[in-house]
Amino acid sequence: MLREVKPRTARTARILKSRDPKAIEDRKKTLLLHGPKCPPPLHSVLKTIHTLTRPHSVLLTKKNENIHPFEKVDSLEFLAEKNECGLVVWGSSSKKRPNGVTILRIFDGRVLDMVELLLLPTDSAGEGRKLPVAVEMKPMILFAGSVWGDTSTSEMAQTYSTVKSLFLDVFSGEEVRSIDVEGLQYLLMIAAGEPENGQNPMVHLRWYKVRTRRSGQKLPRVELDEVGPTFDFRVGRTKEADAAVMKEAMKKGRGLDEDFRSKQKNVGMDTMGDKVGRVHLSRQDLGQLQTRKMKGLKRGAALTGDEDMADGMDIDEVSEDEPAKKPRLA
Amino acid sequence: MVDTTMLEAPPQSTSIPAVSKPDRQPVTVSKPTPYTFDLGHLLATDPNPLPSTSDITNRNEILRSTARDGAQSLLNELLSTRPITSSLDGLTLSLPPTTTQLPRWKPLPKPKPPTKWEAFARKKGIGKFAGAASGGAKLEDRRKNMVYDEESGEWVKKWGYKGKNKEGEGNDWLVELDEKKVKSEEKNGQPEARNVRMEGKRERMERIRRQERRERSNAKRGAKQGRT
Repeated sequence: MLREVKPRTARTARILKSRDPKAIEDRKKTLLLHGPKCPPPLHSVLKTIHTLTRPHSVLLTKKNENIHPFEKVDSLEFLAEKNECGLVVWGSSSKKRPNGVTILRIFDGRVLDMVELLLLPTDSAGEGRKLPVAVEMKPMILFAGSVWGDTSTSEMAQTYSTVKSLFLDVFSGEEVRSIDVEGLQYLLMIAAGEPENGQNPMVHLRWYKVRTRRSGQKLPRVELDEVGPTFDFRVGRTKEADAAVMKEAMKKGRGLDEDFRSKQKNVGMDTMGDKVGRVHLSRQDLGQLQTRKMKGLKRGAALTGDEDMADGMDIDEVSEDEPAKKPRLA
Repeated sequence: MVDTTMLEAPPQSTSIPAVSKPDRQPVTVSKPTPYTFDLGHLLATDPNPLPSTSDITNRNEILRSTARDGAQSLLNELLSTRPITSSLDGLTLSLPPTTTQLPRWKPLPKPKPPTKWEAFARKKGIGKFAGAASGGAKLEDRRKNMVYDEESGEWVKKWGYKGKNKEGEGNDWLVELDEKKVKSEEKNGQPEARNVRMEGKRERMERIRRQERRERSNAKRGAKQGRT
């Protein structure tokens, strides 16, 4: 654990304050780490995740010895806290577990759940292919395969729902209320096959650029071009989250949803980012409008005009119409 | 959802030569198990089993065709169900709140513990806890159930003891009679054995009874619709 820091300047006080828990959290940062051995295919996995999550990720390329996430998580928890990261991706290759990528999720400074994915050798189709993705562009995500829709309590369904949740956490990006249609440019498919010969289904990661063509109908016809690398994984060891801790982690503040997505229709924002409101008023009563006072225009002028004029008194119209002010009750 | 009849729609017209325009490609996707969406995350889940991908040579082709169907149906869902607004910057699609919840990173912030003064003020019912019995809620919280009385210039309860809804129920020094009502009652020859001061309460009770009747009939109607 990090030692308790007492801020000595206003600047550090601000930084420490920004690290306090928030009711509505910022996007989780991802920490990408190398093990003692990280061959190029494994490095390309980390590099791809880094490209897609920039600037919300930290890629450290130094070798880290003596880290075994499924035996001892201390150092990973420390590094995550040090780098202000909520997700850790650990790439390490050994003889026993070649090309292993471990994805960990942190809650409250502790590891919540983790999954080990073993990278399988693939064809060289995606080798060196670039991902034409702008910074902070939100992907469309497709989970394909029967295991993703499996809601039973079997061990495999549990494992794959953890995998799904972790992938979503890593790739989904900022939660937004609206998106530019131009921004719907690329698709990430995470596909899982069927269990074969007693082995867990493989997980395939593929990226596609979306091309839309006019179809003569209202909706466009979608075509896909393969872009970026191709990854195939076999799911290795997993550690599910403790139910009580998970429940704590899923808590939402009371009334936060309404604050976040205000229902107010008449309050909005203009292009300058200023708050703009529309106010509804009832119809103005022009009968009460005080115009220029002229003796000839007075209401009683026609009937008692002569007397008034003779007196030359100026009667206050308003006070005439208004009822006497009610005395305040004690 | 997209109208599925589009799938069978015939080519638009015969005058266009087939060479320049090949037969129309469908924009709808039909699968045995329907997709599920979480549009807040721009996420679609295709629960149909994937064709076998153990053969490395045609794996990419199989995955690409599955992905195309998924992308098509996700875009269809987005463009057909979500409101689109156009501005100078381009077309913006508004997204619903997410349905798949992801765990937090840090626990919910704890509410600040009350200061010594706040604890004391609550116990005594003073300051921002003024007017409440000891240990009551803050005045600004209580004001949610209160309404401003113009006449007295004070905040009064909307309901409950001395509530605003009990106005004119026996505590006025003067009660105005409804002339029409009195006359019609006299005409009909109804016995005048009622306390005029309790007229307001009687009306309120009648309102409550009517509301209860409405609630009962609504519940009955709801149960009937649920059954069919």
